[in-house]
Amino acid sequence: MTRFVLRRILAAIPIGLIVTLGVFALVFAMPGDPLRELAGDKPIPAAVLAAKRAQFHLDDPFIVQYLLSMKDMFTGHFGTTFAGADIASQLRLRIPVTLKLATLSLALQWIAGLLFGLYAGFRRNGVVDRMLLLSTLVVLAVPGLVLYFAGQFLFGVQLKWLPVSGITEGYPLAYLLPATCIAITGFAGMARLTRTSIVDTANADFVKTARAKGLGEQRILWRHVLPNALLPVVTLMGIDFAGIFAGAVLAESIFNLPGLGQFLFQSIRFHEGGVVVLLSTLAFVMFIAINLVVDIVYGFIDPRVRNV
Amino acid sequence: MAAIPPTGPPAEEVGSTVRRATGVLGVALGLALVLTSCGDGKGSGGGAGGGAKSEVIAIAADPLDYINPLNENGSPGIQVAQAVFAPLVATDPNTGKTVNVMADSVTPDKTSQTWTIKLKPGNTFQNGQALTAKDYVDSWNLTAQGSTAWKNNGFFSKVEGYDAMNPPTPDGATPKPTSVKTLSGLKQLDDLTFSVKLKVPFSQFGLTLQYLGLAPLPEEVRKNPDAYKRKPIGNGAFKLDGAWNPGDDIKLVKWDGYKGPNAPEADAITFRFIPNADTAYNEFLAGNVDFVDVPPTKIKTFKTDAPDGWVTATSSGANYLTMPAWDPRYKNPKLRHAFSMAIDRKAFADLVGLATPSNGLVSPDMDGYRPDACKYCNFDPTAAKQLLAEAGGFSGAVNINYNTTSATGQIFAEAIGNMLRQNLGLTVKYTGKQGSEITQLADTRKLDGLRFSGWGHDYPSIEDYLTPMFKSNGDANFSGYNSPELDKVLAQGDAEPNPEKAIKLYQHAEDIALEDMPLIPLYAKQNAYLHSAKIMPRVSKYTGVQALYSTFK
Amino acid sequence: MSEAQQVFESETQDLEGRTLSNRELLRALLKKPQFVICVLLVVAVFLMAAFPRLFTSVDPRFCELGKSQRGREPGHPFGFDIQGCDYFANVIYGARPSVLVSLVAGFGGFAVAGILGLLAGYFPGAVDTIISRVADVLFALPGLIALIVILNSVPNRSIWIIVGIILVTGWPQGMRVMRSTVFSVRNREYVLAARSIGVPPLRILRKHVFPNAMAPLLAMTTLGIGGLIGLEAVLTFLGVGLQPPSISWGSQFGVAASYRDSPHLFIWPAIFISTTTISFMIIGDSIRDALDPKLIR
Repeated sequence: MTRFVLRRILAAIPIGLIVTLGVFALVFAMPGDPLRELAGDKPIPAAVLAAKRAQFHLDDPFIVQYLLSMKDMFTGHFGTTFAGADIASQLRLRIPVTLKLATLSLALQWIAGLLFGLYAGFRRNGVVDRMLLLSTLVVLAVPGLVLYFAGQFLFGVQLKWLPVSGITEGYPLAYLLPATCIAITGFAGMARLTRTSIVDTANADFVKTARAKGLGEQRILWRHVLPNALLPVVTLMGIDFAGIFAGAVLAESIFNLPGLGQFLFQSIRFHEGGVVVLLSTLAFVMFIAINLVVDIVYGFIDPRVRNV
Repeated sequence: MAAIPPTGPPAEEVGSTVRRATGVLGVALGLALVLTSCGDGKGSGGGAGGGAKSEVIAIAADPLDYINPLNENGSPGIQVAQAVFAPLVATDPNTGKTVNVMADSVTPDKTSQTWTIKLKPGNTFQNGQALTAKDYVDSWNLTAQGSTAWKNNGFFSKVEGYDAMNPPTPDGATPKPTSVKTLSGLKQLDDLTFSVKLKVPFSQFGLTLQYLGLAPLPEEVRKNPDAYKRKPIGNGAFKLDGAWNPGDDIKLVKWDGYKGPNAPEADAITFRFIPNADTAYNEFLAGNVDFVDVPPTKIKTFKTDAPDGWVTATSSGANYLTMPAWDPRYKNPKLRHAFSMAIDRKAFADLVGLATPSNGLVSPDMDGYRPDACKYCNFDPTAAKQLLAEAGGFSGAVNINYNTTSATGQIFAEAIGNMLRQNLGLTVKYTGKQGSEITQLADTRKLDGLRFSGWGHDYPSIEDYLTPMFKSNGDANFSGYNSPELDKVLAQGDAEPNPEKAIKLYQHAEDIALEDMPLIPLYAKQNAYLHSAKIMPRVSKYTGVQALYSTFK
Repeated sequence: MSEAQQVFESETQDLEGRTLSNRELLRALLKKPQFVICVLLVVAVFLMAAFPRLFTSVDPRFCELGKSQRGREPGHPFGFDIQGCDYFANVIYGARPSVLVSLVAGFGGFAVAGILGLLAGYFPGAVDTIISRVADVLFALPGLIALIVILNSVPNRSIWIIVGIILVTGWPQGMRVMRSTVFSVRNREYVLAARSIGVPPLRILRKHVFPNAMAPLLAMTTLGIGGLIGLEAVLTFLGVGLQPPSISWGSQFGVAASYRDSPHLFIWPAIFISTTTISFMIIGDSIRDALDPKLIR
């Protein structure tokens, strides 16, 4: 087990380097002077620009800038953004916000997705099943933006049930509306996958064999159908979890949650290569870690995988 | 495709124009700390009990990272700073005249080249330190140093000795360090008096002193400015209420030590930053904030959304279509006049919403504005075609650049493009870029084609439209325009101590610019704001709409 | 990768057992009414994209700003857009870029993912390792960053640039599907037989492996095409979509999202986008159902 984990982590390092280098190169290649975006309304004198450029190493060659920001990252000296915000304190503020949003939305989406998916799968072609297929088609076809604005307008502005934006109301109230919006878009995939997976497994040969052996329905369900049907579901959960960081950008922007997604979007706009790389690395580490966890969970559900 | 990028609309939506004219105007309005017939005796007495007179002001921008007026030239930062800091002079909202705030007197010499500023005695900073002439001189010197890297450095380029402190460096070169740490033109005469010697005479300098970006910092802050980023020590009517950590709203309470004229009525003010302008608007509709700007996309609906709680400011600067002086195809003034007359300004202003068609280069609210200044701004497609033919036509496609971080940039570009295409028979193409990239291309004279630009004054004088945009090497000379004749007339205006005569000269300069038409006037935009039933923001022809000076019901 | 595609990958990944021949597949599909209806709808949209003049004689680029945002009136069934142009003509003409983006990116992606998946699946070892590692990198690269940043960097955002970026960053998911189906096909008797009599590998891939392994990827592609139309809309909303004078549903939708006081601007492109998207999804669903080995038995 330890060897397996170590091997995976070692394999991740070169990929991580390529990813961070690629991201940094992309931001570096963006046209427009990053400091000009800061300038606001009036031209900034050459002397000030030069001082700022020196402070952020903007005149150094690309690879030097990349190495400097990697060094900053690994030594924990994050420094400040071009605009003067302390990056470390930004992270302290923002990581919990995104984590809270992610956990709440994933919890909602997984619970609803699993319940509906399981029910529809066992009652294939029943009313719930048909409703589910229809509603998932609609969810997948309606652009997410529409959902977010509509939700905010209806529940925040009109009915005043939930806060319109911001985190002043605290957890979980302030996070409920954005989390629900994220959950609805993710719910469709989760429910459909669970349903298909249950249907497939319930018709599989080994289940038929078990039934032929005269095993009880309960035992077949818990010991044979569910463990096998849930394997692809766990994979999707992993993908979901890894993607929540990017998925949070839209919700955080519309609902004004000071999370990592918002930070990322701002940083791209201001060409903050260092911050973008820092955040991408965070996302990448999460991606690797979650894939690892998924594989370990796989091992628990399906013993065949364990000794791979 | 990988994760359909779920990203919000551009977070900041200040205006359609590249240099964010409304932002500039925000600055301009922010400067004006003003006397409202000084009837403020009752408000300041009580008010300890839970903020009877408190208001929450929404600002649709990314949260601030510091409060320091000397390092702010944008609307959000200045808006907060004007609550905490006070300027030397300000514009009276009722009369439009300049009144003293921290200054006791501002006197030019005969040539308007040396200005003597005397401070009122007895003012202090919020840490108790007395406010003296030294604070101004040292704060200004600190800002004028390039290595301090503060945004208002450029203001001091008019002052004698700036070039010695900031030797001109070619583009891309590292600036040479200089040992000069002070402006030779700045002199402290006594505790409360200092003088400013300018490089050349400038009759409007007194007006520019209302810029809040010239506020003083106390000595302890000057020694280590970074340590005070989040705990400013000002000289204004409000001070920070408790600690201000990243992610917090900015909470301010009334500071008893402010002895300047015209303290706002509010006892407590909260600034809440909401990067998405539509979200900020929704927060208002839900009753969570007392004051919000109406974003451009809501201009058509705000009156029905908040029927009892909206106000509009008369105008916020002026907006233009900018010609590239570096492209010979656009050089002929007749062609520029043809473009101008092919534009239906009335319809365009309706599209913008809450806007009036421009007929000159300066804002309609300025002293010296003439409603009939422009001879080539009427909509006349036939005459426009004629002029285009006289100019020899246009080869190739007219490229219109628009700012992709503005929700309306593309729409405005298409509207102009359609009119040029249909009324002049031109081929039109469009290029969307980030605002900073357009600015950079234009500044290096590499931009292909037209773009939008806007400007709002920093001090109420038509000179603050003409000098920045039309003087060769002006601060905001978007078009690369260069006219020795206009430069000469402007210099005459700057040296003219008599205000009326100066305005005549500036108007002459405007006429020259209209003949050459490096910028085509488009529209002057009004800003709209929503306010809760609890407050009534101050509305003035001269200083715009200011939530800070709200009266309470 | 869109949700739909993620799900689809998992839904088809373990597809084993026998595969249908293409003719059997077609016959099974034509028996489904919803499949036929959706195909007809999609064909109508294709016609709109190819020959917009069949549907309207109005010039979509004739605009009178004075009529901005006006509602319907005789001769203008959808009213006018922000610029005062006839909205019906604009929606009709808007089909072309949307269809081009979705088709070229969809089937271009099919080709790229198919070929790479074929190679990775048929040649385990070095080829597989290289392709899979590159896919890992693209998976881990936050797609959002790549998209916003690249589209901000290119001087002229034409439809081909957008398609190109989608192709470059979007293939790994499809490649994995193809790879896993190739794994299950490569040891079939007919492949082994061909190999044993010395048929060159490229011919085996072309003649035996690809035809028998492409169906799941094809189904996934059709399921994902709808998402690509929506993606074009999101890009416009972000300010990095197609530029005028291109007319597309995506840009109509993106612009209308800012002007919510004129619902007709929003509703018409939304109906066209959603109808096309759902049609493609149902087609994809039908293909997948027809391929489902459990239903064949």
